[in-house]
Amino acid sequence: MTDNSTVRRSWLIVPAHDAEAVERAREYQPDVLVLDLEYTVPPKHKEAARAVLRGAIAGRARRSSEVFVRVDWKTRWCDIEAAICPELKGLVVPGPEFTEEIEELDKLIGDLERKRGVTPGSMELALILESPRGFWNALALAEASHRVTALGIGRADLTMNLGPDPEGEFRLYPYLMSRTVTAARAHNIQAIGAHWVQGSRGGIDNPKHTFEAARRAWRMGFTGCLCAKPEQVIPMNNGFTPPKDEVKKAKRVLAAFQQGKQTGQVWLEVDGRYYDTAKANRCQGMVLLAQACAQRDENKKTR
Amino acid sequence: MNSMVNRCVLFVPINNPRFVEKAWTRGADAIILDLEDSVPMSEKQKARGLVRETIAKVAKGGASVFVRINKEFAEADLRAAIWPGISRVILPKAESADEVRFVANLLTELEKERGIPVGTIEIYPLLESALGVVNSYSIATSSPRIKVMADAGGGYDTALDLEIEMFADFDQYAYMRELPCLAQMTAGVEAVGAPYIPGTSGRVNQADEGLALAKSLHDMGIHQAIVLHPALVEPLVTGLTPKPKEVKWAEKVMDIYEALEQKGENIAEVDGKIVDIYEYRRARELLQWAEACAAKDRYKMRAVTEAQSEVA
Amino acid sequence: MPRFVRRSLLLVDMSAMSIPGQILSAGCDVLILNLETAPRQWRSALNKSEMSSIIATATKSAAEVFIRVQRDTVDMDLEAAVWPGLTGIFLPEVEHAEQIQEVSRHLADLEHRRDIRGGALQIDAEIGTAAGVWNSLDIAQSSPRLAALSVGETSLYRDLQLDIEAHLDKDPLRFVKGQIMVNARAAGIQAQGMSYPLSITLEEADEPRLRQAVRRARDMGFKGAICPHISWVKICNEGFRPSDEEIAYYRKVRELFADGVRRGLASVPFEGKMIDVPVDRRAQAFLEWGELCTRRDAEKTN
Repeated sequence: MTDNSTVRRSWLIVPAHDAEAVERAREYQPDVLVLDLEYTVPPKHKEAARAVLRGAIAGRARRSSEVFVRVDWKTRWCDIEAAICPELKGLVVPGPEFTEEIEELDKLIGDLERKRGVTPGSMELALILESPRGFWNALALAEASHRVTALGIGRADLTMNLGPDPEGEFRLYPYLMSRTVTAARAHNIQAIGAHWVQGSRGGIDNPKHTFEAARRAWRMGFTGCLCAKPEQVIPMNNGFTPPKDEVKKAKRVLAAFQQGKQTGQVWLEVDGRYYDTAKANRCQGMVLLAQACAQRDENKKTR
Repeated sequence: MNSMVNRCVLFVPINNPRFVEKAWTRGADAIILDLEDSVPMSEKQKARGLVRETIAKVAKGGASVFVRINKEFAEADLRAAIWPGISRVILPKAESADEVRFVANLLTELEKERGIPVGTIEIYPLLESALGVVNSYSIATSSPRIKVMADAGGGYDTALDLEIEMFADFDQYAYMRELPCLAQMTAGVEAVGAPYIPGTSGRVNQADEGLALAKSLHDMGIHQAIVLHPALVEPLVTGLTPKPKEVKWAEKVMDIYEALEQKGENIAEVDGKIVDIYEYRRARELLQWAEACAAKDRYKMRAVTEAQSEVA
Repeated sequence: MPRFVRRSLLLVDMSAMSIPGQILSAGCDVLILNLETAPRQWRSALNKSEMSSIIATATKSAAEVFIRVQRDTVDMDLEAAVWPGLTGIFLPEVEHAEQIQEVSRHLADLEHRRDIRGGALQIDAEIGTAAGVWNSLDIAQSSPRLAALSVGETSLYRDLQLDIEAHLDKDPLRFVKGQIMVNARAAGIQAQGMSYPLSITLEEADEPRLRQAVRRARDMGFKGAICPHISWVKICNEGFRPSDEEIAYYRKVRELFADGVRRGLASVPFEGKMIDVPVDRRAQAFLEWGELCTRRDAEKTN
C-alpha cells in the first residue's frame, strides 16, 4: 500500500484502440484500468489508439476504476502527449533504466499538466522494471521523481529471457522480486508484481495460477499486479487482499495489545504465540489494508 | 569465433602428464591449464615452465586453451603462460577492478611482444569471496576483455571465504549467485553460473549429475559449464547444444514473426504457443547459438581427424 | 577468522530492575539489556549506581554485556546506561552510516567522562528496514567500533510488509539476509541472524526446528543470533560451533591433506570428495573457530 492508502490490487491492461474491449474491461471493475499503447496494441493500430485515447480515458459508463495509460517506451513522448488529461490518474512506464529518463518525463508531464488544466504534480508514474539496468538502478528510479508511486517487476522473465531453474523458478526472478520490494519500501511506494513461475506466460494465466501468484507475492510485500485478461481481475484482487482468518487473528492480537498496554506489558501471548510491538504493528497494517480493500470493493458496488 | 562456444570447459592440472596427454580426447570445447589450486606450491615454478609446450598438445582436438593463474603470482604466471594459442586468462579470487586492470595491461604488453593480436585475450574473473560479490559490478565493467563471468555461488573458495560448509540441504548461496548475475547482465557481460540443484552430492564425477546439470543450464539459457572431471564433458556438450527440434521451431517463429511485422501486427498463436516479440528474440538467440555450436563442432571434428591421421 | 564468539545474544527484559537468576545462569555468550522494554521515566531516572550494579550483575555470568537502546531516545539511553563493564551498544533499525558515526562520537565522549578505555565500546547495528538493507555496506564500513550487523527480522517483516504467518517453504528474506551477511563479511565484521522465519516467533520453538534453523543460519555464514527466549541459548551455543563429530572429521581432513602434500599431491580423495587447498584451509578455519568456542565455554564454567 502506498502511504495514501490507495488500494490497487488489479491493474487490468486493455488495448486502447479497441473500444469494445475497453468497455468490457470496465465491467470487470479492476482497481486500476490500464489503457494500453504498448504490447497489446499492434503497430498498425497505434495511431488510432492515440487518437481515441483521451476519449477512452474519460469514458461513459462505470467509473469504479482509476485510469492509467501504459506508454510504449520507444514512443513515450507522443504517447504521453496523447494521454495527459484531467481524468487520467497516471502513467505506467515500462522499461526505464536511468533517473535522467524519469526526470525528462517529469518535465514533459509538467508542461502538459499546465496546458491541460491538470493539477500540477498530480500525474503519477508506475515504473515497470524490465531490463538488468532497470533492476540495477531500482532504488534510484524509485526516488527519481515524487510522481513515482509504484515500482513493478513486470514480466522480467520475458523481457530478460530468463529460463526456468530446476525448481521451476525463472532464473533470477525471485531475487528481482526481492529487490523490487526493498526498493519500493525504502521510499514507501507500492511494489507491484506477482510470483509467476514456470508454466505461466505473460500477464495471462488462468484464475487459479493468478490467485496463487498474487497471494505468494502479497506474502512478499507486493500489493498489486498487472494482468491482461479480465478473468484475472477477481483472483488477483483476492490474492492481494489479506485472508479473512489472518485478519481475524490480527484483530485478536491488537485487542490483546490494547489491554496489555494498560498493564505496561510489551510481549503478549495470543493463541499460543508471542507478539511484540513490531508484530502488533504489522497486524495493524494488515487490518487497515483489509479495511481499505473492503471499502474499495464496497465502493464498486455503487458505481 | 573459436572461443565463443564453451559449452564445457575442462580443468587440466598441467603438472600431471597423463591428464595432459589425454586432455584433447575428452571432447571439451575448452581446456583450462591450471597453475593455481591443483598445483602444489612446490611445483608452481615447474608448472609455469610447462605451459608453452602444452598449449598445442591440449588444443589438438579443437579445444580453446585457457590458463588459470595465481592471483598472488599474476605477473610471473602471465609472463610464463601467455603465448599464441591462449585465448583466455582465468583470474581467481577477483576482488577489485584494479586487479583486473593490472592483468589487462600486462596482457596488452605480452600480446604486443609475442605476436598475438592486441586485445584479443579475454579475462574471466572468478568471484570467490564476499568482497568479490560486493564489487561484482565494478569488476564486470573493469575491462572490455571481460566477455563472460560466473556468479559466486557454491565454490570451494567461496565456502572458505565465508567459513561455511558446502552441500547443505538448502540454497545457502542465493544472494552470492543472484547479485553478481544481475551486475554482469547490467554490464553487458554474459552471465554464466550454475543454479542451486537440491541434493547435489558434491561428488565431482557423476555423469548423471552432468546430464541433469546440462538440462538445467540449457533450460535457464546458460551456455557454459566449467568442470573438473572428464566424465562430465560429453553430457554437457551434448546437453547445451540446441536439438534439431528446437532449431526448427525457432526458425518457424522467426518466419511467423517477420510475417506479422510486415502486416503491422505483433502477436499470433501457433500450435498452442504464443509468438510475439519475446519469442522472436528468444528464437533469434537460439539460432545464433545453434550456428555457433555447429561451427565449433565442425572445427573440432576437423582437428580430431587431423590429429588422428598424425598418429596413424 | 571471526574476532568474537557471540553465538547466543540473549535479550533481557529491563522492565524490572533486576536480572533473574535463570537468565544469569543461561550460559549465553552475550546479554543484551533491552532498554526498549523499560518505561521511559525509569530510564531517564537511572543513576550510576543502579545501572552499574545491573551491569556488574550481568558480567558475573561471564557473558559480554550490551545494551539495546531505543531508536527515538538514543542519546538519553546512552547517558543513562553506559558505564564501565559494558562491552557495547545494540542499535536497532540503523538506516544510515551517519547514525553510527553520531553514536560513535557520543560513545567517545562517554568513554572519556566515565573512565572507560577510549574506543573500547563496540556497536552492533541492526538492519531492520529496506533503507538499512540498501545502505548496509556503508553502515558496515562506517566505524572501527562496528562489530556486527544483525538481521532485525521482525522489523523487516513490518517494513517490507511481509506476511507474518510465513507459510512459505522459502524464506522471503533469504536474499536480504544474504546481502546483510555478505556486506558484513566484505567489511570484515560479523553477521548475526537466523536464516529461517522462526525468529519472528518468540515461543519455545520445538528443539528440532530450532536446531535446523540455527544450522541454516550457520550454513549461510551467520556466526550467532539474537535469542528472544532463554530456551534458544544452548541450541545457539551448540549450533553455531562445530560438533565433536565435525571436529574429528576436520582433523582427519587436515591429516590426510598434510600427508598428501608430503607425497607431492595437490589433492587427496576422502569419502568421495576431493581435499585440496581450499578444503584444507576451511577445515583449519573450522578447527580454529571450534577452539575459540571451546575456550569461551570454559570461561563460563569457571
